[in-house]
Amino acid sequence: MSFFDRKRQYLVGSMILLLLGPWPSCAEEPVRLTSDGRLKATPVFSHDGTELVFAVLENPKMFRLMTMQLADRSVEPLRKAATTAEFEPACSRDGRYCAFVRQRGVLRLSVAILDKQTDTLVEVLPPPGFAGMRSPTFSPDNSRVLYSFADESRQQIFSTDLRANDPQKLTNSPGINNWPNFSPDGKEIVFGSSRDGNFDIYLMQCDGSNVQRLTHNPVQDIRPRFSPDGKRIVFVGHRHGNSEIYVMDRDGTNLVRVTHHPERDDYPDWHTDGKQLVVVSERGGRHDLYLVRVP
Amino acid sequence: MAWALPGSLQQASAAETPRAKSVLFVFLWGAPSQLDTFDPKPDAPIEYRGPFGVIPTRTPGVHFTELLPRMATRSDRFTLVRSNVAISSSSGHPKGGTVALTGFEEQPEPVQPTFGSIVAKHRGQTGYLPPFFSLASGKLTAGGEYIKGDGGGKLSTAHDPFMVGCSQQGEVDIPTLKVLQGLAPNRISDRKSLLNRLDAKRAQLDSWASRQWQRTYRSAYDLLMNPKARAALDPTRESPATRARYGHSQFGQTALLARRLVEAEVPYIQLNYSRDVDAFNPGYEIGWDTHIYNFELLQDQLCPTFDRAFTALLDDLYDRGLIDQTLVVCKGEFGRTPKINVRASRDHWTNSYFSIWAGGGVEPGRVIGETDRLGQDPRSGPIVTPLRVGTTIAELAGVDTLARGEMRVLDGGTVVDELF
Repeated sequence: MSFFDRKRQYLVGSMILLLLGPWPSCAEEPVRLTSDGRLKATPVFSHDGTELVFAVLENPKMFRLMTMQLADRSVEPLRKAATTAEFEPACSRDGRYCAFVRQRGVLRLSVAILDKQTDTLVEVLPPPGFAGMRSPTFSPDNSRVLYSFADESRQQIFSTDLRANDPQKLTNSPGINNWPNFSPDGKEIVFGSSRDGNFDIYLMQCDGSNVQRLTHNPVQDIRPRFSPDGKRIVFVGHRHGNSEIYVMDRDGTNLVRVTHHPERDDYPDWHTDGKQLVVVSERGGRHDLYLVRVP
Repeated sequence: MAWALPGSLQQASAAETPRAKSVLFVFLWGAPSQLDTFDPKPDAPIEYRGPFGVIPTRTPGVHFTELLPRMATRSDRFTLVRSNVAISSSSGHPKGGTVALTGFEEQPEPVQPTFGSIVAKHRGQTGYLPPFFSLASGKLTAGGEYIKGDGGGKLSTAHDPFMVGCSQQGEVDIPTLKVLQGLAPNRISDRKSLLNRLDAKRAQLDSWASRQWQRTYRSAYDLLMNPKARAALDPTRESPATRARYGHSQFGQTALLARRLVEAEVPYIQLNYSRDVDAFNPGYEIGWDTHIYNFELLQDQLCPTFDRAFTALLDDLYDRGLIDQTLVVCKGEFGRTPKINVRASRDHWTNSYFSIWAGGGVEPGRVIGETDRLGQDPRSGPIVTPLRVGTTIAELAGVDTLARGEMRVLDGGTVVDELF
């Protein structure tokens, strides 16, 4: 993608956010995007910031992926034909692909990669028995997909090409490694890991080398994501007693708390303008999508 | 405040008013991990302890994992047992479920009655509602296979539970009337219309099925025709604030329905977290059977939903003055392996698990029983078997030793005296 394409993405996304207004006078006041209250998870912005893809618990038996056009907040299923649960979506930077977790049977999950141009689906299939992959995400050059997979009593981060070939293991540590996310330049991967005890945020080179620990907290820090400029990382932490959103610099310094509410705030993703986050917030026992400004 | 001594428990007469007017049995079907919830082992090796931090509770020296912050702040409202033990030969779900609900294995047949059926037979129907409700969207299953020990068993199907489901919107449905599309208690207003629909359906059945219909559906029909019964079965009559406290999840609104049934003095209510055990099973809700992605499932969905709804239920029972006349017992059918499995998750474990007890005279704010440093086996405190759980429930619900003997149920069971 050229510099001008990215600039165009930024401008289009920013214009849509302005159209979503009127913004409240208080800059910190979140903007509610949905109102049905059903359980939601893992919203992600499309490559140009014009739409959101997220999972909703359509009924107690079925997670379905939905797309929301931010301009008019219209919502429709990503794949009307889906008959089993689909969740944890990821969008490629060129807008062509969408990856997600797909339920293939009892305790069996695959990572599916949908080519929206050709409407074809390829899958990273689990081995026989109870098994599955989680947390897919694309590399910035749209050539590979990262995912988490349990292997030999540990959960590691792997990558695959878009035809579900050439799997490569990137981590090899004890504990659970999950929620990988590339830096915008594709050189680094931020992820959550319990290798040192409980979940904290770590950074490594894209080949899995040079792992650095960014947070040191006795309760969990999870779901990290790089800001579009690569300078900051958003994540979810329990450090104030329940699930809240935090932002820090890419080296783990300058921690800022984004949400302040006794109910759950979770699943953040950056808008392409780098100033807003979409989050799932539980308010009054209902789960909805909100846009939150980053301090 | 502690209730009577165990000795007086044993001597209580069945004719006396039972200590627990209602028993609320919260069944975490699928078996939650004890190490990742109420019995964390933060100092165990990494292949055991799991990835969660621990938080202090209101009970000095007692910690839960960070996934249960509301439960932690209410630990003075219940007592936690960490020394539950199931039956190792029934470590699979259908069989383990039967053990958890009856105290005995499936064999020899006939299967023993579930605790609720024992209480229901003893207490009988005294009001406008059946004496035993099981709250789920259908008969409990494990991977599609029905559990055998969730009904009257050898006491007869007449003591089976009356099953009622509840959606995340609070809409109630009765599985036995599923043939009547769209029928819900809070939508019944026209007696003639309902009768016509029932008769039309009955005409399609053969004579045997028709007799069954007469028995099963007649009771459902009677229930739906009673305005008080319909009101009890309608959680949407609660204030928005109350409904919000429980959370707008299926379990949350079903827990609220359970509290309404306690208010209506139903003797036994089994509140099932899910109909099926499996965490990922197409066509079913997410249950506690987490053979893969145990940690993600617990932190993303299972524990937040449970933590909110169960604490709202406890608070509500306390606030309404119902807790003293209600026995709340919460547990799964067994625990999960302390050692993390090859899929970085946890499998079935019968050697140790937890249960939560509140109300009905149970002295709250304590932990009973202790497991070893890896959480594999109890190392102190009483061994609490399903049979002892059932016996304690029966005793508090008024089914004393004599009554149990006459029914020939819960043979050999003893009360968990340490709870009182």
